[in-house]
Amino acid sequence: MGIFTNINTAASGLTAQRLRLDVISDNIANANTTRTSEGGPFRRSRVVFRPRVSQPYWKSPFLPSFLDNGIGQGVRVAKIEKDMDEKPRLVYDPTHPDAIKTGPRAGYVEYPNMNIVNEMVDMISATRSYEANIAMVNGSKSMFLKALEIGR
Amino acid sequence: MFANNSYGRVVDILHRTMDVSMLRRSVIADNLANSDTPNFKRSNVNFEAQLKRAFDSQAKPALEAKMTDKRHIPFYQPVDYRSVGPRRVLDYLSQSKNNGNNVDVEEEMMLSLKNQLNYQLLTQAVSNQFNQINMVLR
Amino acid sequence: MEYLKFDQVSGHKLALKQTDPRHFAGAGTPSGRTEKPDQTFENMMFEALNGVNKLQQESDNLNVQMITDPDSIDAHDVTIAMAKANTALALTKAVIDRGIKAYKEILSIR
Repeated sequence: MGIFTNINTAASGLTAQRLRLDVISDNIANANTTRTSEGGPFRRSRVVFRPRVSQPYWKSPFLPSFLDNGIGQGVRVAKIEKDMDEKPRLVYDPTHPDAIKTGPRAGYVEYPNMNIVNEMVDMISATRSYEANIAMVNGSKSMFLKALEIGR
Repeated sequence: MFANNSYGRVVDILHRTMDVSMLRRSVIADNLANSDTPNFKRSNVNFEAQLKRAFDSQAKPALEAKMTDKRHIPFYQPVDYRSVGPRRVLDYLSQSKNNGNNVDVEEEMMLSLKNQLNYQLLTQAVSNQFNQINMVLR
Repeated sequence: MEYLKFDQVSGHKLALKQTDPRHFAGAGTPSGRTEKPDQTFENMMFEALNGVNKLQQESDNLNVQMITDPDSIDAHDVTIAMAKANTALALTKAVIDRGIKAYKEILSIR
């Protein structure tokens, strides 16, 4: 616990939310991409957050000190993974260059199965978290400046 | 030099409370940064209630034990306020969202605002203590 | 019948039996506060100067620690230590000045 610890923690939150916003904007921009370099339509990505210091699973208020990992240091992005759970959306268009040629689904084009409304709600939530972290940084700054006036 | 009189005592109490205030701000910053992490539980810091209990135990008790032998046990033992420390607890009892996270952003912002104003008030109190002596010495 | 005060009884303090040198000793030794007798002005002045010196050294140590290891201390630790050192120095200086002035006045009576 020091002079700049809580600013570091808030900064880690800002970085994580900014990364989440980048991923969301990438998803929105590629909402209609039918062909990617790996083959198949575009799959939406999502970020997985983890706390930097893992919390012990202890339900009583009297935590033994050797189980305690210390004050948390913020959040980190564990990985950015593609969401492979959804089936792509099929649209019948035999003249499209990416239409499936053979098989039971001949003539269908695979579009990414992404809901733009979900992405917009995620974006609003990321923006709100970003603003909350900015407010923490501003508050820490004014507290520090006030502490400098003690001996004056 | 200021260790044993009432002036040093007040400054020491204010100093300890300011330390706890910074600790509380670190914990609130951690809660806010992790407001989207799944299965994260928020933490709290408890200090003021324990400090009040320590001060109350220094006062003369209403019902004293009349002890005549050295092996008798007294009813109330005074607790020195210097032995009281902040305690950080995990809060499992709040309502969680769907991803297991129980951080409420608005409540954390209000707590951080209260903490900030409290810290600035404590700064003012400590400045006042030093300025009084400087005023006398002019 | 004479009643005892709470710091003269030790019924709530239990000593642990140690049968092995690795056992922990209990912390229940009663400690009383000793009152110092009235001191001369010279002793009190030297003690005050020692106190001022200690506060100045603490403030210097905190300044060095703030530079080398800023994650271990807070902003108000440093400023409160500096203000305490300043105040102690100003107090001691004022007392010594008044004392010397009074001494000179007494000397100039004759």
